[in-house]
Amino acid sequence: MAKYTIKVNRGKKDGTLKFNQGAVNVSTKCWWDPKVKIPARTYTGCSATTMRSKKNSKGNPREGIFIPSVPGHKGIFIHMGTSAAWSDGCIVIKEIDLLKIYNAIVPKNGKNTDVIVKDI
Amino acid sequence: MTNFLKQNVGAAIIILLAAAISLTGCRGDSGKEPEVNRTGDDAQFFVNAMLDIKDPQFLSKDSDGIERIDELKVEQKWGDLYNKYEKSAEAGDETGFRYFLFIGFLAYSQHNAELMEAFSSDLMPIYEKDAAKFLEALNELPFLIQSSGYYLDNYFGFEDKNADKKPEFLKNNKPLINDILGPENGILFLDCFN
Repeated sequence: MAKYTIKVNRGKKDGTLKFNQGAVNVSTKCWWDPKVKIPARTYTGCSATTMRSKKNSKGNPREGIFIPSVPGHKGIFIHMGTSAAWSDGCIVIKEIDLLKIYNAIVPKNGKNTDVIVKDI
Repeated sequence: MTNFLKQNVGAAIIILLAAAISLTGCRGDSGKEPEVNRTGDDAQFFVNAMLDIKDPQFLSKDSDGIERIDELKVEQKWGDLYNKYEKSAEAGDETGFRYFLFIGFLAYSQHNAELMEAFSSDLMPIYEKDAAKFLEALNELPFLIQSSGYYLDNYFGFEDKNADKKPEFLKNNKPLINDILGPENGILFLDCFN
């Protein structure tokens, strides 16, 4: 089964999220709630999935990358959003970029992705 | 939040244990379970979550063959329960409404980002549908005030929407809040709107 890696480099107010897999190359601005930052570390066993309680711009279940085993937090995803105001702990990127990553990761719910969060 | 938890988690556990015991005790022999039993199963899920009890239905083996809780499946279960009780609350069902607020309390106390973000969007419309009923529930169950107040405050500006509407909300709702919640709970609630 293929393994995937997402790199999140956090600055003070925003950061850069990178994903490279075959023809899919994403490098995009990302945000988070500055009051609720998850610890910087490598998270293994992450999954492309959908969020049951939130909708995307088309009114369907919101696509996301679920990050398990986050110390002190639950329900952490990388999902769509355009500023820190979309987060209460999650990492957010523009929907168009999130969908590129979501579509590239197969199978869904696969626990086949590492998310590396670094403070720079 | 730590003091908040110390003060309120004990009360919440007692309520949930009582709910789980009483509702699962209603299980019938017909094979098909009535709605109330499903609610009892949900209460059991809440108790397990609060007490960090590993529910066997969510155990799975990792790549090293070690049995661990499948956090993704647990989160999906939370999402399903959120949807179930949000619909119930929106439909005006009193039990469903209180369960929905209780899920909000659990999400807040466990820092569940997905659910907290969902409540930040979805709780205000339920409040606005029947503010008096909402506030009466908080007055009867004051351990729900801080989490519910957090979500209602977070509604203003969440996802870059409604950022300018908080002053009007407070102006229009303060009399009802003070009337139903009284001085002590009213201050506790209004303090959430920083």
